[in-house]
Order: sequence, then structure tokens, then C-alpha cells
Amino acid sequence: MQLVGVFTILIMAFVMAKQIFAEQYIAFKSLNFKDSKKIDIWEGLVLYKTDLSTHTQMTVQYGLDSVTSASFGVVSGVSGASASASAIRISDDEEDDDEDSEYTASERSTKTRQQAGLSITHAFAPDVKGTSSVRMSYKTDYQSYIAGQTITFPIAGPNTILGVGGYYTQNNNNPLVTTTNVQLEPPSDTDSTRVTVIGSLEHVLSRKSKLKFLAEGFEDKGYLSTGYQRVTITSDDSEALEVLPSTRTGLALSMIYSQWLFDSAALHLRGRVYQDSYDINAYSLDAQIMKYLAEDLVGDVRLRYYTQSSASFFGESFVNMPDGFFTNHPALSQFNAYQATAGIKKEVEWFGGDGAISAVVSFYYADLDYNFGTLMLGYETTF
Amino acid sequence: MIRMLIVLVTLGVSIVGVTAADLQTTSSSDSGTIQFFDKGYLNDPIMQFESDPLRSALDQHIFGIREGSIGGYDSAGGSCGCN
Repeated sequence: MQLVGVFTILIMAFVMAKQIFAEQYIAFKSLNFKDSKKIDIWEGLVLYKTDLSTHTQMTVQYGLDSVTSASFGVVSGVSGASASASAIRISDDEEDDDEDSEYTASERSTKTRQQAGLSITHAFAPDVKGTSSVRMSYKTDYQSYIAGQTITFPIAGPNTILGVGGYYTQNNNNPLVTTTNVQLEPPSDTDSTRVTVIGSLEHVLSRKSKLKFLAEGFEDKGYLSTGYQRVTITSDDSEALEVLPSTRTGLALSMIYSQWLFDSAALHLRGRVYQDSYDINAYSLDAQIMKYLAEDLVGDVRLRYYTQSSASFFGESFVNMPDGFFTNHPALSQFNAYQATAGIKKEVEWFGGDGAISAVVSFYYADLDYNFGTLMLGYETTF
Repeated sequence: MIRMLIVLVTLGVSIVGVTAADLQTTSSSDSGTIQFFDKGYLNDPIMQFESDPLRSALDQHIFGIREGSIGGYDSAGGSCGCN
């Protein structure tokens, strides 16, 4: 219902804007994500792009996403997750399966997040472009404000493009709701910041192939937390809340190779390596083929492999954790993940302009017993 | 670390192999600077490094929930703010 409301408002705005600007683009995206642990995410996004002048383009976007989740009850050990921002209790004791026990599951809850963004790209010269952007993400217990600047320019000729940029993120993290039995209190200052620096290098190899290198480094400071914090009942009945170091630095290096194949297909190969101060080492490799199935129809398939090591302070028990840090969040554990994605995109005529409709299905499996499917439907149109 | 090296070597060999095959099938005039009027294939929508930025941003939302690594995906930096 909310997406329909946003759609209606945006169409009205477009009608008024069309008489002013020459080139406009509007896109709607809807994503639904479910997994075997009963986490359900819906996301809808509206994007509007327009030329302010012959050298300047503006993009405005607004989106909603909701996460509905619940823990799946009391379990042995430290498995289980709740995507609620509330701390949840997991018991090591199998006898606590009794639903009347104080260690019962949290109720299913929905968190809604709004996101909005504005970016302006200006072409100072052929192949020299600068982009300024601001974005915000808001939900009742977590807000983020992100500002960034990037610039690309040719070096050593028009076939080699260097890009540099940076982003600053301010996160306001409201204290978590904890049960009455949890004695731990969050600190008085629960905000955090992130500084990101990006460098890229694109090079044309031939008429049909090109290569891009990307380096992205970041530094987080402040009250750091994973998306879904967990309270663990340890073997001696003590309680442990996830505690992460107040500083985190990391670096990701990636390479993308694109090659035109035969008469109507393109191959994209991507490799990425990552390392951070949590001692997480990760790398991924994926291959994607996009092909024109007809003049106005594109299909693509993509396979991705991802693996990571665990954080140095990941464990099933708080006991003997180094420096008092502890987490048992699956995202910081050691695992391998496999993803297969298939998509199709068809050009259509819509509201008097050229547009496209696309659909994507993606399946992601991680060998820590997480597996889930993603269905995304999108509508795009250009006027 | 050994797995990382295997991944990078595999990717590098694949790139070298495909590029060599591509250069063999193109004329000698393709070496050196590629002029803008000769970039038809490179400018095709399916040849872009990120052909669908919105799909990429949504993928990052999913990865950010499930994976512990951050960045390096050629999409907007600074995180999605979706803790």
C-alpha cells in the first residue's frame, strides 16, 4: 500500500517536471526476501533521475524496507537469531524448551526503515565527472546519515580512468531494549562514525574487453554492533551481551573483468579479497553472463562463491574471550556461501516513453545452516 | 590464504586467456588507443561494470545482513545505513 502511495505521488511530480527538463528517468523496485529462519524483508524503492543541464544530472531516491522476524524459540547451544533490535535470550539448557520458562522466544516483530538520497553528477570535461551525494536511513532505533564525494578523470589517455572518493557516515544507535534479567547496560554514547576512502582504476584492454580495479578502505569508531545483537546464557548461567571493539578498520580489493562474447553476450568476472582488524579474512569470486535473447530482451545468470574466517572474538561462550570482546553472531562466524542468480529484463513502452521491466530470482546458501531465497521484481521506465 | 591465492590466480589466468583469445580475433588496428567511435561494444548496456545499480544496492543490503566483510563491491560507498 505504501508503494502505491509513493508511486501516485511521484507520477504527479513527474507530470509537473516533464515540461521543465529534457531527459527524465523513473524507476520502481520491489524486493521480497525470505529465509528458512523466518526472517522476512520487503523493500520498495523509487528513483527519479533528470538532467538539470547538458552537463549536470540529478538523482533522487526514496525507499522503504521492513524486516519482520522472530527468534525460533529456545534452542540448545548458541544457534538461533532474531532480526529484531531487541536483545534476545538463548538458553544452553534443553530443559528450557518449556514455553512457560522465562527463556521463551521473543515475539515476532516488524521494523520499518525509510531511506532517501540525493546525488548530483557534473561533467567538467569529457571523462571528467564529479558526484556529490547525501543519503539518510531512518528507523526508530537506528539512523544513518551519509555524505560522499567522488571524481573520475582520465590518465595516460582516454582509455584509462582513475577514480577517487570518500564518504562520511554518522550512525545514531539508540540503546537496545533488554529483558529485565539482563544486567548489562549499553554505554551512554551509542553513536558511531565511518570514514570510507575509495580508489578505482578502469582500463580498456581492447574493443571488446575492459578491466577495473577497486580498493575500498574504512574505519569505524564508536559503539559498534551487528544488526542483530544476541544475549547468550553461558554454561555457568551468566549472561553475555555482544561486545565489539570500538574501532574497526578494513580493506577490500576487487577486480572486475568484462568481455564481449560472440555477437550478443557479455561475461563479467569479479574477484574480491578482504581483511579487517576483527581478523576476518574473506574473499569472493563470481561470474556473470548477460545475453540478448531478443532485440529488447536480456537474460543473465550469475554464480557467486564467498568464504570468510571468523572474528577473533567469535565464540559460543563468553568464557576466555580475548580483551573482553565477544560475539556469536553468524555474520562474524566462519562460513562458505554460494549464490545463484537469474534475471531477465525486457524493454517496453510505458507512459509514452521507453522503459523496461526486470525480474530477478536469487538463491543464497551458507553452510552455517542458513539458506534463503530472494525474489525481486522491478519496473523501470525512461522518458 | 592459500585459497585466496588460488582464487586470484584462477581469475588472472582466466582474464589472460580470454583477452588473448579476443586480441587474436581482432585486427592489428585494435592495438593502442581505442577511439570513442570504436567503443560500441564497450558502451553497450550489458558491458557496463554495474549494469543495474539498484540491483547491486539491494544485493549489498542482503550481503550486509549475512556477511561480515564490508566494501569493495563497486556500488555507493559509506554503507547502506541499514543496521
